[in-house]
Amino acid sequence: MKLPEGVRRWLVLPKRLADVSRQIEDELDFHIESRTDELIRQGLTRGAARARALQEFGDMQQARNELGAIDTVQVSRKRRAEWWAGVGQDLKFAWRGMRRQPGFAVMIVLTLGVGLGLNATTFDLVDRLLFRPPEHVAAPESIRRIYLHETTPWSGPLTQPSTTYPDFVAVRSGSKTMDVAAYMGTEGTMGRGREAEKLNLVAASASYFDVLGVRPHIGRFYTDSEDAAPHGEPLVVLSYDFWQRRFDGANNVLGKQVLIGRKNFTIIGVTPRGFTGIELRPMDVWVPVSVIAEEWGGAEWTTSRNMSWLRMVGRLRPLATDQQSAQEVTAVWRRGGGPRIASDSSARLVFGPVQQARGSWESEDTRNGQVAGWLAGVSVLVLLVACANVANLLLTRAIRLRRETGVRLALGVGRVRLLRSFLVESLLFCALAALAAVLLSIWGGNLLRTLLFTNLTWSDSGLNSRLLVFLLVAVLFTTLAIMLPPTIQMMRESIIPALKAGPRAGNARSRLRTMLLFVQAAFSVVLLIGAALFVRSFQRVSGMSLGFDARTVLVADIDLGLLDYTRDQRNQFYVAASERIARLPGIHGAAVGTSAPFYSAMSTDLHADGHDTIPGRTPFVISVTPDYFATMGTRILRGRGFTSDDRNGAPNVSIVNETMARGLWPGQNAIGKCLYVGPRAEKPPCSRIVGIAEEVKSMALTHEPVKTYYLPFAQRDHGLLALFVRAEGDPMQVVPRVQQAIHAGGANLPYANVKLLQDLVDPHMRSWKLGAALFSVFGALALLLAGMGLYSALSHAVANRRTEVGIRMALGARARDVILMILRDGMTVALAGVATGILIALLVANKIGPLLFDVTPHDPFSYVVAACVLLSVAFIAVLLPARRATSVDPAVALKAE
Amino acid sequence: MAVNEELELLQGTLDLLVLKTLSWGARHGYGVAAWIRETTDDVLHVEDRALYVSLHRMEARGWIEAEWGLSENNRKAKYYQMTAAGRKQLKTKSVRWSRYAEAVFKVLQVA
Repeated sequence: MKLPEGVRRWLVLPKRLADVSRQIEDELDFHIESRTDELIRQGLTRGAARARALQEFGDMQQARNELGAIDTVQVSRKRRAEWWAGVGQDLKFAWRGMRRQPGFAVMIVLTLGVGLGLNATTFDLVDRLLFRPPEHVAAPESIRRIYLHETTPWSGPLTQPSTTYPDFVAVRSGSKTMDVAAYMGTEGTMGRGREAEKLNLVAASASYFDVLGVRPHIGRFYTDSEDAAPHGEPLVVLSYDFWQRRFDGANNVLGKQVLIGRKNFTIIGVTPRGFTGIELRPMDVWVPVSVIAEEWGGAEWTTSRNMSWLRMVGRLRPLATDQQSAQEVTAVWRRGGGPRIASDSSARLVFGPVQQARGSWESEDTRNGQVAGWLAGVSVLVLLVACANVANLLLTRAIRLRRETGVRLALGVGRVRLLRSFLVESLLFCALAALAAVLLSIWGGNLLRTLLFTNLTWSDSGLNSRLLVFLLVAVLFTTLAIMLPPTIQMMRESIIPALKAGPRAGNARSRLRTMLLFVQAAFSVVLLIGAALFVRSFQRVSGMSLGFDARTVLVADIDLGLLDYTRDQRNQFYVAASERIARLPGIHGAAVGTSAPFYSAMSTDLHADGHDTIPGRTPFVISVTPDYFATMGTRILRGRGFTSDDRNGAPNVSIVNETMARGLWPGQNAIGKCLYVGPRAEKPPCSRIVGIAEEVKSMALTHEPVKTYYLPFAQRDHGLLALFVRAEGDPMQVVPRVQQAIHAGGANLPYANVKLLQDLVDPHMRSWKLGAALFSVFGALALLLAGMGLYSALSHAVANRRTEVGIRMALGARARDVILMILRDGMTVALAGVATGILIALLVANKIGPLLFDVTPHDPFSYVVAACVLLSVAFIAVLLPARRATSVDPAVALKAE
Repeated sequence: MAVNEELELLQGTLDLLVLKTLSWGARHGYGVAAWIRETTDDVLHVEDRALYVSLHRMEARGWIEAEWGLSENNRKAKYYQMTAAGRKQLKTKSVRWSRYAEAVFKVLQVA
């Protein structure tokens, strides 16, 4: 702009809001003064001239207000535009900077990406297990699972979900604070012969759908009148996925009949997509409780209290509180004769939220939930390590650029401006890392699902709004975390020292950097210790002797009750099938037993020589064919196994396991003693003990040994039957042959279930397996991150001491002494970090005690291993650059400054 | 006509006058007022307050730009000058005003 002649420029800095009123004042003053001067020239006095000038002007205050309003708006708008332009510029520079130093940028993005990705994955896991309500359930926050809490002499105080049908009826009809439904998930079969298929079936009361508030996708649900005792209508509701899979989503499926178990059921509806009840496992069909109950419970199923099989779930009515409702429901239950032991004062019903993992019942879900919770905590730790890494990198860079920063500050770029450009850059890093994290979490989630959570519904992909919100929060947190140390450094910077800094300014003794290293070392050690503990725990679990060869033995069962076989027919079928299978090529042997490990167990009345009642827990009994022990791989420690001579009519014999032998006759030889199997009133004969078998894990992996005794199948054959097959090579190869052999036993047979024994054991091992796998991965990642971080930080520190090293060597120091000195400095920090990490771990470790199998949380071996691993990484991280530094000719090093 | 309406009519016209005044070079607010007074032989009385509002408003719109200067007697004054956008506005407004005046004149001519 060209000012008039004789007018000099008056530099005024860009307006801030505070300047606006002052400038308006100046402008108006000038006007009044000029007019006053002119009036004076026209002859008025100063006072009169000024008064006239003011009067001519008009309302001064109104002018000030109006002008102030206009200018303020203008200034704000301009400043906003400037600000955004500044941000755009920062972004451009940040991007350009990344492209100029791609290695640096990639390392930061990857490190943060790994940290964020892990957190996203575990967040998803924790969310699914602990927080996300089941789909299509209305108002899940008012749904309550109902558990039974009782104290019995045989199992002590116990909370578990199974109740009897009379219990359910009492609570449903009597409660005024809750609408209650009952359900039970099980397996069933659909169809016959070749097309027979396994089903995940839910027996659910008609109120189930009402209580959960779910509406059918097509068709309808069954009603109370159709689910009435004692005969329910054979109606079935399909799940969406099952409908798609088996019927191709055909619309005309309503009214069709399907054979489930023994009955023909009519399809009346399909549930909406994604609905799977309140369990996490996918379900295929829902049928009325009364239909199933009649099959299983026999004629008196409506009043029988022997079968605890139904789980109850209810919805709190409006205005009812948990406490009130729990008390009322318990009272109703007790009135209906609920508690098994009438004198048990602790017997009550307790509530749990709809997410099973948060309930008070010690289920696989709760264990998984605990592990998931710990994993989430660990992920945060890994993220912190990653942040420490990146912060260190950024700090090193900030120190290296001290001179440049000093110049910029001296030129008048405000610290706030510098900070803003740093913030923009950090946000860019974190945003890119978040992108990488999303990809990682999708892949990681899939991995988790296929490896460890095969039985959970995981229908949607990893991405959903909750995860994105979480990522956003995580990104903000990460940005702040990585900015903190470099910002502290920059804020402390004074201009003159910064300007004087040499081009390779890198204060080796930056306290901030030492702090970061220390933090990295400490956290990494904690993670490594966790990993070591879990890995050892898992080793113990998988190395544990089960007493049978779970990996080479198949177990098969087939529901012959569906064909109305009598017990004798059924026994014959199984024995014949086992003989047929034993003759097949590739089969080592086959046998029949009346329970399967981790699946079922039986006990009955028993007394023995010298013991009128058996002390402790009631022993389990299994009736087995002679080949059982060889097939299962259970060793006979003393005496003999069963032979074909031990048949009906021959003298009764039995085999006990070593626990039972030791428990009942300590120090004596149990062989030759008598067991009396059956109610005392019937005066059972002596079943002479002829052999002692090794201990076998029956229903749980815990250590408490269980007394078990075996009887020959030919002499006593009560119980559910199972077929055991030992293959010579890979057991999965022979599964189809086994199935065929079973089917060859009759026409129109239902589905023959053939599984590896390991599959029955796995669910019990899953939590430990999960913990071990994931902690190991996290531990390895943490080690990688810490290693990289330590290496880069330490090697920078050492490299920057090159001048010092050069001087020392020029003065005659030996390379070895210099290296030792550097090592000592570097390892001190590492040691301090490791020591602190161990302390933290010791304090926290008690909490993960219950998640470890047979390993104490203070297991010294794990701690030592973890510490050694980290210290060796630190050692290498210091040694290599130290050696490089001393190998440079001192003259060269000194001249390089 | 009510006083307010009079003022508003004046505002649009005032902008035009100010722009024209500034087309000959930079002036401060007082200078613009003085020039308009002289050129119209004191017929047009422009309220000073309205003038400054017009100046600030046009500066906000980008039709004129401003800079502070020190006058000969060392007084700080804010000088205004027309921008390229302002020049365009001047042309448009002039044409429109002429047409308006012509139209009114035509009506008045009809007896």
